[in-house]
Amino acid sequence: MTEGAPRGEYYLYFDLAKALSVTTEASTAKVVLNGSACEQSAVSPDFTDIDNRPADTLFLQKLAASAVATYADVELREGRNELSISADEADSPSSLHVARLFIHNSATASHSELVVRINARNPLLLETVILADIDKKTDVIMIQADKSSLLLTTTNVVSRRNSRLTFNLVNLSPSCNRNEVTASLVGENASVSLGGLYSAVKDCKVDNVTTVRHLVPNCESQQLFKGIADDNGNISFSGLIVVKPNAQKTTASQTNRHCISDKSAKAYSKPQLEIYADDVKCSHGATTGQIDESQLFYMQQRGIDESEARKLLTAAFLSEVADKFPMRDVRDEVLSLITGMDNDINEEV
Amino acid sequence: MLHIENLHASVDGKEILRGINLDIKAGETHAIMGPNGSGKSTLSAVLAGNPAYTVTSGTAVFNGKDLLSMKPEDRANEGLFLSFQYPVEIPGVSMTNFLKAAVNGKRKYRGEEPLSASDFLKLMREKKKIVEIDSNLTNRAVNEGFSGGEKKKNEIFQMAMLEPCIRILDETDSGLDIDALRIVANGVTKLKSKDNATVVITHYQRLLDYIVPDYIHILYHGRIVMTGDKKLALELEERGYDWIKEQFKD
Repeated sequence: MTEGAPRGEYYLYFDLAKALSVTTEASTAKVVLNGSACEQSAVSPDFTDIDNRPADTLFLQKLAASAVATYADVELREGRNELSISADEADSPSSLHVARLFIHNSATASHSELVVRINARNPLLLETVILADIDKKTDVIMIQADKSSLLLTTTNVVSRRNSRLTFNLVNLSPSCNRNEVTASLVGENASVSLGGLYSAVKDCKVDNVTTVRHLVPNCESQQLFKGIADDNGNISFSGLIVVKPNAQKTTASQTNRHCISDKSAKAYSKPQLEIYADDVKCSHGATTGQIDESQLFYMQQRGIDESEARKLLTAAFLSEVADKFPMRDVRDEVLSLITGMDNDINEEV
Repeated sequence: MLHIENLHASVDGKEILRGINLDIKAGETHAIMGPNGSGKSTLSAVLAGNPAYTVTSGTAVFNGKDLLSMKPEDRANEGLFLSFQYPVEIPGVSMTNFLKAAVNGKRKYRGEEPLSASDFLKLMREKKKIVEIDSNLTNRAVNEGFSGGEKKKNEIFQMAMLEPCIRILDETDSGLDIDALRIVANGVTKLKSKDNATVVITHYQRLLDYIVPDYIHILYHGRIVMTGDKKLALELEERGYDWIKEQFKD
C-alpha cells in the first residue's frame, strides 16, 4: 500500500507549536560524551548554501548562542565513543529542549564509532552536524530509548574526500518522531551509508525525510530504511537523491520497506531521484507489505503463540537494517530490544 | 489419543473433506494414501489449525480435549506436530531463536520455567545427532536457502526437540533422495515410542518400507474409502488408484 505523499513537513511542526510551550530559559538538555559533560561550544558549521561553494571546502560560521539551545562540540576519539543526551524536566514536562551537536573525529582519530543514546522525557529537538573529514572513517548510531516522548532530529552530514560514514537511526519507542537527514558528498571518493529502523504503534508516528546530494564525481551512497506500523501507527519515508551535473560516476541506492500489521496502521513512501549527470548508477525501491501468514502459521504450529511469533517476524524484518550496523554489540542490543530476547545463544552449537 | 468423527472441511467455499472418521491410539502408525486432490494435505492442515481452512462439521478429540476449538499454538503445545510438505523459509529468524521460542512456548503452556541457555544448547546438540543434521544448518535462519532434503531433515529435528505425542508427516518423502529419505525415516522411527502415534501421508510405498504402518487408509474425494494393513500399499503400488476411483466414484 503506497498512497499519496507523506504527511508533510509542516504537520508535525504544527502539532509542536500547538502542543508545546517553548521555554525561554536556557535549555537543560544534557549532553555527555564518554562519561563527562561535553564542552559547550558556540561554533556550529553552516552548510545552508553549500551548492554554490567550491567543493571540498568547509565554512564554519559562528552562531550567536541561542537562549534555548545546548551546544556541544562532540570530538570523537579513536574507537568507541558513547554520547548520551537527556532532557528530563519534571517541572515542565512539555517544554521543548534543543540540543545542537557538532560531531567530528578528532585530528588523530582515523576511525571513530559513536553510539548516541537519547533519553528525553521532554520533547527534544536535536540538530546535528556530522563532519566526515578527509580520509576519516566515522560510524554513528543514534538510539532513542523508551522514555522519549517527542523527538525531532535534523542531521546534516558533510562528507569530504575519501571519507567513509555510516549513520543509523533507531526509533523503537512509543513516541512521535521526525528525522530529517541530509547528506552532502562534497569531496571525491566519499561514501555514505544511511540506515533507519523504526516502529510506530498506538497512535505514534515516525517520519523520515532524507536528502542525499552528490555534488562531486566518484562518490557512493546507500540508504536502507525499514519500518513497521501497527495499531493506528503511522510511518513515512520520503527520500530524495540529487546528482548534480558534474557528479559523474556516482553510485547511489535507496531502499525503503514498510510492514503494516493491521488495517488501522498507515505507511507512506515517496522515493525520488533527481539526476543531472549522465554516467551514474542509481537505484531506488519501495515496498509496503504485511506479515506473511504462512510463516506465522508455521511458527504457531511449533507452539509459539501468535504475539510472540509476530514479534519474531517483526524483528526478522527489521534485522536487515541492524545487520548492517558496523558495531555488532549494538546490533545485538537493538535486536533484543525488538524481540525482547537475548541473542547471546546464537553461538556455534 | 486422537478421535476424528465425521469431519467436514472446506477451503474458499469448496468442500474438501466430506466426513472423515479416524481413530488413532498411542503407539500406532497410520498411513494415509490416496490420489492427488483427495484431501490428504487438507486433513493435516485442518488438524493443525491452519486458518485458511474452515471446519464445517464434525469433531476431533485429542487426549480428551476438543482439538478443533484450540488455537494452532495450543494444539502444538498439547503435542500435535505437523511436518510440513513445504516448510516455509523465515529469513532473519535464526533456527536457535526459533527453537528456543518453540521449546519455551511449550514449557510455558505447561507452567514450567523456561530452559536456561546452556540447557537449551545441550538439548539441541543431543537431538541433532538423531537426524544427522549439520551444525551449520542450525546456525542459519529457519529453512533459508536449505535444500529440499535439508528442510525435511530440519522438520524431523524440530520434532525431536519438541517430542510431540502425535506426529503428522505430510508427504515428508517428497523431494528427497534415497539417502535423505533413509535419514529422515530413521529419525522418525528412532523417535517412535509406545506413547506417541504417527500419521504418515504419502503417495508412495517407498517411505512405508522404513516407517512400517499398522494401518493404511485410502482417502478419496474427502472420505476414507478403504482401510487395510501394510499389504494394501503394495497392492496400490502395483495396481495404481484407478480401481479405487472406479469403485468409489460419485
